[in-house]
Amino acid sequence: MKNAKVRITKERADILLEHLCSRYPYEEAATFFECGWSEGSESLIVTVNDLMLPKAGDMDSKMSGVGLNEQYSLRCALEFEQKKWAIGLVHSHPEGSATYPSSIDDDMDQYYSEYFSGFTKDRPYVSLILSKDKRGKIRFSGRVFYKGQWLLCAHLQIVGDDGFIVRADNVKLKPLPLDLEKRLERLTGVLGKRSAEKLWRSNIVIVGAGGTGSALFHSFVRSCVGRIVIIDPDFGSESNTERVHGFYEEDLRGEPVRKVDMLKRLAAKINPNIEVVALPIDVRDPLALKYLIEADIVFGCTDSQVGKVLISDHSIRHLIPSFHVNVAMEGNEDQLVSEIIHLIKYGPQQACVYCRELVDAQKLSQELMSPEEKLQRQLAEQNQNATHGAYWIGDPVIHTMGSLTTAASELVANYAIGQITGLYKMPEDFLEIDLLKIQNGAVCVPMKRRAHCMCKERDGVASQGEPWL
Amino acid sequence: MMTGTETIKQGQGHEPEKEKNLFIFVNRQKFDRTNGVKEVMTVDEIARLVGLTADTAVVRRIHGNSGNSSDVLSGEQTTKPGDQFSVTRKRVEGGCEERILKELSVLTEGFQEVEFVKTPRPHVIYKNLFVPCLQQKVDVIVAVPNGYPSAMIDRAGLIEGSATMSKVKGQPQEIIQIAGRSWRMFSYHPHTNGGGLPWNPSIHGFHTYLYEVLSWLEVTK
Repeated sequence: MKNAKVRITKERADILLEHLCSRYPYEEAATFFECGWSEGSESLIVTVNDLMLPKAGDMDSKMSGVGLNEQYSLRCALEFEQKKWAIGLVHSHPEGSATYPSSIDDDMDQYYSEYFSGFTKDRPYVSLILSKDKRGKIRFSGRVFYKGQWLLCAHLQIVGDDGFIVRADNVKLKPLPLDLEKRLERLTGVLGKRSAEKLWRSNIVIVGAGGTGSALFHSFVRSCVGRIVIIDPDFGSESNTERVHGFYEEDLRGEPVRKVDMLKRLAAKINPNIEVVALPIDVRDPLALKYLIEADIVFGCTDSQVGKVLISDHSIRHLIPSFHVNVAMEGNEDQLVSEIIHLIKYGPQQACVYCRELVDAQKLSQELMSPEEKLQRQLAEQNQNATHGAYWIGDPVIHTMGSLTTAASELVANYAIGQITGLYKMPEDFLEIDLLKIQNGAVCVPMKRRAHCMCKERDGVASQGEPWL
Repeated sequence: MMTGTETIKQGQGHEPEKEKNLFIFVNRQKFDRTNGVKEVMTVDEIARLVGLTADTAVVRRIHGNSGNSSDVLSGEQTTKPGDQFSVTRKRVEGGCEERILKELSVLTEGFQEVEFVKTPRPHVIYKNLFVPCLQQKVDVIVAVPNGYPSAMIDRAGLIEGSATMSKVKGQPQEIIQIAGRSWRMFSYHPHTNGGGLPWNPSIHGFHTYLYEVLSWLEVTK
């Protein structure tokens, strides 16, 4: 592991900051908290869950810094021993102060990492420092003791409608490319110069490199998003040339070329400074999931049921803002009557894919079958006595057009830029537009979680909760 | 009446089975005779197993895996194999302020008097600094900026009405009340084209700002 990334919901962050700033402007506060964790490809992902706020007598109120009394330390140690979570400690520095750890912070973390290890065994110990200034600007630093080494926290991501990322005080950021401002001159003219930096420092994952995924990738490359991970196992075929960005004539000759490699090549031609990780694997592959959970935002551009479920699941478990985009066309050879774009936002505390009834269970089961079982089912379907579709419903062929998939992707990219820069947002978490019925055909509907859906218990559980797949 | 076997056992270096296997857990970590575990231990001895003492730690028994702990222990404790104890620092401290105190201790170790005043707003007072042109000693006050150490130290102040006020460079600014005295602040910015290096929190601090203040007192009108 190279570093750690911390995520917290906006709602919980507000409660936390209220407590941490309760002795401002000069005095500090602290609290233990529970957290989930998962190993990404190079980052340890930490999700902040319940706070274990101090009770009477837990803190030395005479100190201007923080003094955690024995009863608080021991109570938390014994409670955490019985739970599956990692233990974290967060304290504030005075109003407007930097959050570099002091030498007594170093001593505190050294002590607690050893003390709690007896009770929590191999689970991480997380230590965060936060401060807020008069204007409400938050500063942050953190470190995690995990598997015998200290990992610095790269950033704190506050996830929610008005979510944002706070970069750590004590971590050096990669320098901005010299041409960034020039490239984004028109964009920054509207969104401000800071938006360029935020785009450059973003790390996004796109699942699916077809019509929508490739167009989205293309858009983000031109918007100078600094790191893009693209996941798709497929090779390009002739029918893709109509839709897949980055697919050229030469790719039809010779050996088949993977879609992700086409996109990596496209990015290099537009802006070689952008880091592209091309993963020619299925999204279910453990390596793909390691990259996925590290993302600042995830984009699902896949028609597969598995893709939909995975993205929804991880957005909740790992507190990752996610978008899923689908297109559909309806009509016949004589006339097209609908061109539909579905755009859904997933995240913690939001309705999951099951709440929204968007999972076709039979198709999902089919996708999850082994090749041998698929063959068996197809043969059974050929039995004329079987009810049609009882064993096998056939691989769906999604009819679409490049103009529609690109239009859908640009819509997503637009909302994503708003999310990244923090300057505007998608009005609700579900948007359906029929391009052939613009005035009457836009539906923008918030959806609450279903009362008994299992997603309610899964916010921030990371790898400590059972995966849906 | 002893049997031959018992005669051999006694005084021949054979220990009863239960004593050989004496071990306890402290903070769920196992310690045995090789670590100094004995049948009767003081709480200080138990605390020292994990690097603390009876003065710095609270020692309790933990009841199995129940998560319940006893009252605070003192004196001597009898230990049996598998006994569980917690040894926890009485107080664990953390916080930001310590950097300033560390910097000031560098000065005090060099026999420079300094005072750190926290209220109503944090300030550092350098005491008894020599003003060459007046052959006198003065106290100089400097504010701890909001956002220190990222925010740079800036300006300096003298006791309102002191003779040094007419000698130092920089525009006189507001009067502040700190530590029961009135101080006049002056526009002195050594880290912003004022003669010093640009502010760098990795290098500069209140221990280095003393030199900026001394320069300010030396270069007078």
